[in-house]
Amino acid sequence: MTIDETSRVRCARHVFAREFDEELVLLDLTGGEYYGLDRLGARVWNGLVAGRTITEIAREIAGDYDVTLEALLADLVALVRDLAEKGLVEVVV
Amino acid sequence: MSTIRWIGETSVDGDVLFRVGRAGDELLAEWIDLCVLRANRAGDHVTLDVAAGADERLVAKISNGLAAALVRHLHGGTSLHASSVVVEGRAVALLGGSGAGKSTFAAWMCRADDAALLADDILRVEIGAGGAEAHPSEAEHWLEAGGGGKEPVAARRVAPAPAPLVALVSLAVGQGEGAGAIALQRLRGQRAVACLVPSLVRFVLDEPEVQIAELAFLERLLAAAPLYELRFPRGFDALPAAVDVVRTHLAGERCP
Repeated sequence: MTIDETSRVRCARHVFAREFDEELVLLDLTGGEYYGLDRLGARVWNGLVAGRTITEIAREIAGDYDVTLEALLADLVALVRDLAEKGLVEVVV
Repeated sequence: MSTIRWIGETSVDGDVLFRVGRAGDELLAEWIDLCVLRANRAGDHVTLDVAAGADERLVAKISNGLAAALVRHLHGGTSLHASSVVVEGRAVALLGGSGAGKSTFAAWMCRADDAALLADDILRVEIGAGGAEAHPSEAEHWLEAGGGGKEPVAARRVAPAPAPLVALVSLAVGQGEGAGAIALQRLRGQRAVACLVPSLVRFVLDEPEVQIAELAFLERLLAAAPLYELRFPRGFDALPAAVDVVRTHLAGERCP
């Protein structure tokens, strides 16, 4: 399923997340693979866990970065698509 | 007879050197052309089958090092692929991939009279209320002997007892601008975990409870012993100065 800025996705149940110095390490329990998210990625992940859409997350954090909302949205959509390709998040139907 | 399901392997230039798998309830670790370790999940029934013609010294090194660490993993213990040296009561673990120079670095550190070898290749680490402890496991450096092989060289001094592990240092080759310089940089967050994970000795790769416990161990280890990346030019010329950087830093680390 296509992911865009209005998508609502949830973190996959087989993913275990742990914070390290405000960054996140994601552990995919199906294969024991580790993934890392920087501070921005961690904020996005926490927003997804809280059930927010990508647009809602972007609006919430846009003020903290020197970037337009459109550019931030494009970056976040790309990030979430990457997470989905790795099986770390699932689109909520 | 059970079919073997290989779930992890280590290759160099496309050749598999080591692999881990399961055959039914049995766990297997195979060092190609050398030996096969078989163990039940509890780790209380273990066998090591040696291949015909295998180098006895290499098999002994595996048996005392990595094979023992894999069995320890079945009992909930943790080991790192690391060399380790203790200097004046403070231990450092030297990390890095194959060929990173861990053994050579450790051997050079051990030239000093106040240093002793804890481990050449496999380091047992215990974390308790007092912090992280590095346990002595090996008494020889395995050093390049030409022709791509390694030979054992007895360490001048071997640590007789565990020592507080106060720092982890990942060895890396200098790159780009400043490649000729020696730089020590603390790694934090996801970068620290990404650096440390390949150094974990793991036998059980496919059990979620074990994976979660492992991540918790990494968190406690990084809280107990900071991780640094040491970049320095490849070769012996820069080695003494790089060792000095680590020794100086080690002396300043908090010792629990």
